[in-house]
Amino acid sequence: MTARSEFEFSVKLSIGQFVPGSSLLHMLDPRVKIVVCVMLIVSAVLVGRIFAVTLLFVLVVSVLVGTGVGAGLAFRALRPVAPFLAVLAVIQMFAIPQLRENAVIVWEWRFLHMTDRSIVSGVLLIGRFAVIVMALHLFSVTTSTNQLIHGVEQLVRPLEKIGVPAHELAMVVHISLRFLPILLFETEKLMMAQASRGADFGKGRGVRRLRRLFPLFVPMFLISLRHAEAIAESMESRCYTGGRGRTSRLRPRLKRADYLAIGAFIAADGAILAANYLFSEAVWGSRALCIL
Amino acid sequence: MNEKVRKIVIAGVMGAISVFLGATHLGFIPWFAGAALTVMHVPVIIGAVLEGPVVGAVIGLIFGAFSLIQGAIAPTGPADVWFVNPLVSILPRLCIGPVAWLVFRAGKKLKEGQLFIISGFIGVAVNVFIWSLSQKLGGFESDAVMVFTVGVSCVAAVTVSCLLLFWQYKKSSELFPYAVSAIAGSMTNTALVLSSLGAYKFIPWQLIGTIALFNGLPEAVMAAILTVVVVATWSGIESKRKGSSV
Amino acid sequence: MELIRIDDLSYSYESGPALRAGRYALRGVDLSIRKGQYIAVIGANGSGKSTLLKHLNGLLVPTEGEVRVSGMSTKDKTLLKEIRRTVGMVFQNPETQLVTTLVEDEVAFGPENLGLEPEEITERVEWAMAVTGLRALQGRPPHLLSTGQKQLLTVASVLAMRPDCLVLDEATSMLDPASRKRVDDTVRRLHNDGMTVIASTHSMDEAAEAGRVIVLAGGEVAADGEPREIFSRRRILRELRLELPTTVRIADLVKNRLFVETERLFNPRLLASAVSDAYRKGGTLR
Repeated sequence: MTARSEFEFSVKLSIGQFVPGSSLLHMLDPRVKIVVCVMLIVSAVLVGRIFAVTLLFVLVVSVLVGTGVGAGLAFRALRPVAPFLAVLAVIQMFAIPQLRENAVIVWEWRFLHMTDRSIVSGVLLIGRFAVIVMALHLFSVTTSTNQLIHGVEQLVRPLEKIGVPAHELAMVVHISLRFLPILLFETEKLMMAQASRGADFGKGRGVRRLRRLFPLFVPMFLISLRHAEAIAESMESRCYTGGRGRTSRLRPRLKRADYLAIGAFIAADGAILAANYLFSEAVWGSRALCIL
Repeated sequence: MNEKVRKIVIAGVMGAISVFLGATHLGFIPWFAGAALTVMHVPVIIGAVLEGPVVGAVIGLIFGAFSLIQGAIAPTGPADVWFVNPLVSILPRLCIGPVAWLVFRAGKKLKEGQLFIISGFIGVAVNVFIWSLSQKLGGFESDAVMVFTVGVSCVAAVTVSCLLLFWQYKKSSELFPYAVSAIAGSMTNTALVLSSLGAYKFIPWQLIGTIALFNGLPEAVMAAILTVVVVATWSGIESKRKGSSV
Repeated sequence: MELIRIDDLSYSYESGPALRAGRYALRGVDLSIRKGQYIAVIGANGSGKSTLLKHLNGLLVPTEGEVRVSGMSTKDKTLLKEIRRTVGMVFQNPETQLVTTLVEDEVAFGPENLGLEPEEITERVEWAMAVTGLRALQGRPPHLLSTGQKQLLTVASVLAMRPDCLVLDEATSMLDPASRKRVDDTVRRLHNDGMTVIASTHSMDEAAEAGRVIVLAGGEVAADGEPREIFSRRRILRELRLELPTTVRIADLVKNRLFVETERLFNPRLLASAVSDAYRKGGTLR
């Protein structure tokens, strides 16, 4: 029984973070939210200046506050990540030797050294990650899995004209999500069976642990492949042949609020990105400002 | 059976296994010095050799997207947080499947001896790739040491796992392409993830060779064994079931 | 009216040289299935039940011979969609037949594949959920349903295509008795409204209730007829290691006291009336 309880304990399928509610963000079309979320992540990766990352952060927070979701929820999202971020930032600031080249040393003690470049990269790292984490949260808290899949499918639909199998990709995600509980159930059964024969999955490391896990992994793959065949047969029996000639139960339409929201967001995000690239050294003149 | 439907379902199911292994932490095997080996990329390789490069890439996408989400929502260590960057989490994983499939396709056409040579070349290519990237991106101090460690790790991975498999499956050399493609897929994952981490200066380049050796090598061996056992049993079940009068 | 016609169907999972070695899962099957029939397919494991049923909607295509559904050959790929719309399939394990994450989406899956208009789809979803009594489960994710509810949902999702024929491949064998009864009752009700039903089963009691029983053995049709006919051919049943329906076994036990033809008592209602008749006549009951 230890295997079972331990196993159940370790299962944290944290995909469904959805909290039902009636904020403006909940009401928005999932497509709009997906675009916003993806743009935020991409901008966070692209920007290379502290002021731009700060502006992005302000943007996320204001989206959350402005739509009535509340900033509290977002900051709560940062909590589990914060300690790791801090550790990373410290490493970045003190211990990466590459950041010592062509840089002004601000502070030094034995092997630890802080330069202007390392400070910038540490702050950027925290800023970037905070923006991404909050973007994902504002999305996952206000959008159910189902809305997500339908949204992605509709968004990528136009790309079908150039050969991107949008519907098929959405179907893959659908089946993945549907298969997770089956996999959980089957694996639990396998572990119980192996545990009753004296296997203990929780212990050991390295090769010893591996030798315990192999008798679990191999049947897990085989059972899944067999289930896959059955799923395919059932889908075919219901006339499924892919996205062609398929219709949808729901006919989603974008509302005026959706257009307004996406317009406002693109304007703000675009401005930040533009500022990031435009205000180069030439404009700012001094080295310190350029880093910002 | 309709091929398209089967491909969609196998991609979905293998993607689910990858996510499951990550979410339950079953797919992480504690290794030495606090590091952990992973088998999360094995579904990608199996999907690729069974159903082709597109299925492999899609499973890789699911794998990558999951590490991104996990890094952002429920990280279990500082390393998880690095994967919030899609260039670290998603891009490298997209390449695992197609590489594994290409190597598998090539392997099916070749004889054993040729395969050994080719896998050696792959090892060298991966090594050169990391090396040249690091030359460009990080002014690192001991080229020779890194070239040596990375090179040794790649070549050793290929040889050791080939030997292991040869010892286990003396009679069925048709399984070699699966093994070599699994190694190639696994090394692709290691090489690309590590070099993107290096490019973002999350890990100093000097460390990367060592990590490639101590993590990449056993991961490749594990992926090879698991892929071969699963694929061999699966095709065995298929042919046996078809053989009996069901 | 004939719905399905099977002519000299042989099927082998092998191909190429192995095929010539001649291991067939089905051999020389000839069957004609009329509209509105209720057919039970019985036989030991590996007798070819599933293989036969998978031919009925073109999941498998004959190695030799032909299967025609409403005159459409399953060999013609362009007709597959229409054939599968006509013949709906329900399999054994409900887990692997549910592909969406919402009950209504699951029922809508078939009609969506048929390319129907949204209004038509909504109407069919409503209808199928009402017929199977699943209305209350609207808005739930399928993985949180009980096994019995899941199987009812697969029946609903097949019904939404408005098939003429329902094929059930051991559809109730994984269910508990109560949910088995719910699924059986639903199918029976559909049959009374004119649905053709073809169900493979290991339960002889279920087969005894059907209108026609087909016995498969080693990939061939060993017997085909009404239950009373099939269950009186005891030697064949014994050879094929098939059980007798519970009622026949009970009748056997009271045979010495009851002068009735026990072979014909395959059905609980017949057994009950035979016992009461015998009792009323007195004397015959020793």
